[in-house]
Amino acid sequence: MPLELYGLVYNATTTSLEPGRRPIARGKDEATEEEIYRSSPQLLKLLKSEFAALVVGHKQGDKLCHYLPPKPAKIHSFVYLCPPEEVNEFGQSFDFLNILLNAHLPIPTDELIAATLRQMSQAYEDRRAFLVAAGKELAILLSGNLNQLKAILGRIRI
Amino acid sequence: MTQENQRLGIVVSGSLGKGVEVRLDSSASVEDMVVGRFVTIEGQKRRFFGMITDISLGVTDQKLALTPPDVSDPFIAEVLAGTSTFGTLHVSPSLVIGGDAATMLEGPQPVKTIPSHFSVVRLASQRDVELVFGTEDEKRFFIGTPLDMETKVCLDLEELVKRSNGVFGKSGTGKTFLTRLLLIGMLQKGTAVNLVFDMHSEYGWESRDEHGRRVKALKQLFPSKVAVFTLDEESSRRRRVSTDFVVRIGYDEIETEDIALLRQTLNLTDASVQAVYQLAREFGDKRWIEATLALEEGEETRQLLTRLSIHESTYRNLRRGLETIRRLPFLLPLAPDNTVKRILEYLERGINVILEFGRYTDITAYILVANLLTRRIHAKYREAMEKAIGEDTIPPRQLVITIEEAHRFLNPEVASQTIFGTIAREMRKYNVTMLVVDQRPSGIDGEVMSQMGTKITCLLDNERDVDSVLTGVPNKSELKSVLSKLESKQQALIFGHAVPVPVVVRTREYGSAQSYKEFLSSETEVAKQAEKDIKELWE
Repeated sequence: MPLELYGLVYNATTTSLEPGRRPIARGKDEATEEEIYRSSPQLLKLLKSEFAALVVGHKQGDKLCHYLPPKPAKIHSFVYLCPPEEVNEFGQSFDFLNILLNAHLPIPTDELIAATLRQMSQAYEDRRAFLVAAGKELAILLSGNLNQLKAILGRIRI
Repeated sequence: MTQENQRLGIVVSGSLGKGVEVRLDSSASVEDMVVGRFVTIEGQKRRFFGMITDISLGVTDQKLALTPPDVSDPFIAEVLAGTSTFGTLHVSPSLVIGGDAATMLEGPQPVKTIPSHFSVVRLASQRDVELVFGTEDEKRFFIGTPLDMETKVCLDLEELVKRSNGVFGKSGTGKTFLTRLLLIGMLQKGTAVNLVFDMHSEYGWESRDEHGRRVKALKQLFPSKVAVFTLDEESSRRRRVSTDFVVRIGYDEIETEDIALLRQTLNLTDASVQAVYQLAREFGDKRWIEATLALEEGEETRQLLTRLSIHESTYRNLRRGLETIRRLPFLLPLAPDNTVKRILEYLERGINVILEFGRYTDITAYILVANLLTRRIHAKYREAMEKAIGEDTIPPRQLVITIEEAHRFLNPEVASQTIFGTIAREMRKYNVTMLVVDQRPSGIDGEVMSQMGTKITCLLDNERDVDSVLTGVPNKSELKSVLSKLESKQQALIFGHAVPVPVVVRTREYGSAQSYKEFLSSETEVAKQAEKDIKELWE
């Protein structure tokens, strides 16, 4: 059975192709940023952009699960942007919030959760209802950590 | 208005002794909850029926109480409601109304267990309440409706009259209306015949309510079933009451015990009460009052007193008391007719007797007359009942004696001496019970209070009164919070023998033309049914 993984982008970087080599500042005499690439077209080949995603669920056949998949993603698997319908379907359950809360990431988790919920809410007709429901779930999960709860709620309120 | 069968929350903890805690769902607002309202709990195997007895607020994290979040933002407020901040209900389950074999066959049963964790709690539906309180029929009387519901709460009058009962409440909370309702119920269903000592003349003929509206009373509603006796002919005539009998009492009918009972009201000393017994021995039980009052100042009297070893001051004290009695116009040296006999005649025919006091609302008159008549009626009833047992015949009709200001008769000092104390304790066996109407239940002897079958109480706020009404009730502290939150009008808490669970009712309407019609229509229905039954019997 094909296995589809759902991930949340939590980080994005643009670095030099060669590790250890840092990009230097350019474009002192240029008028716009585009001009820099026009005058030094090699730059496009020397820089790479990467993003990191946290796996929060998967789909095996028709079954949507809000927990980690049995297998990791294969190398060279294709990555697609989740269409709004699928986001909507995935957001029917908030079980994935627990994974997010417990993840050790190089970025503040609160920010990630708030951003995720804000993004996801756009897939819903009634954004407010979605955010309230998510907020209630967070209130239960964070019943012992009021400050964190307050911080997240402050970032998702509309 | 809340939706029928609305889900309120889930059971989170509890015990059989203390009741269960219910955590409210976020969809149910804590402000919509009311103490005294009925709920059902869907256990895994049984359905429970109970009452909300307390409501409180909870938070998952104490920090929330210390640093309250910004609830001016509706989003935050909505998220926190029901999750971090929530309402809890305290429910005391009192009946099992479904699920096991016994309840299927015999109706609601008392609880012997509690629902399991996370059982769903809902508002009780009309059907549930009907299942518990029954519907109006030939022995059940509709007394009022539960809070926020249209269902009828019915009292099982046949059970009610088998024991002594009490109606309590502060002045002006509707005791008289409630008592009138109960009396009408007993008349309508014919479960018992009543003798009412009507201190303020409000049960026999019409009186006015607090808004000055005329309110009909028993004689007007059931003219063929009620006889009005009066102590004060003039007052009755002025109020255009059609009286059936004018009560006069002879000195010979007053016994030594009657004087002992009046000790407090007549301000007699203990020695004076003792002197009464000596005088009665000297002059004879029938004549002693007349003879004592006839004593004149002089050597003879002094000699008599010395012989009986009654001190001069004691004699003065007693004499003053007896003069007070003598001033009561309905007392005559010799009564023209035997009141007790008349009352008993009416009662035997199934006619209810209401004794109006007219102007003599003085407590001395009331205690004297009520005690005197009741003692004799009690003796006759006892005789009749013993005869009925011995000869295996039909026992006398169940008699309910209504007294007001009951704490004067039943306070701990005199309860053991008065006939009312005896009736409250043991006359159930002789088919005589009491309906006690009082505003200071704490003044009533604890032993008497504990023997009362059903208590109906309107608002009481004195701590001692509340305590005394609730003595002997299993979940006292819970009912206490319900009782002290009653509205001051038209609401009453009923608990005890005649209702399966304690219930707060909004009492049935009384005083409008429609309400009179309702009382009477069911009356004729009963009559029609009886006629039909008789016809069928002969067919």
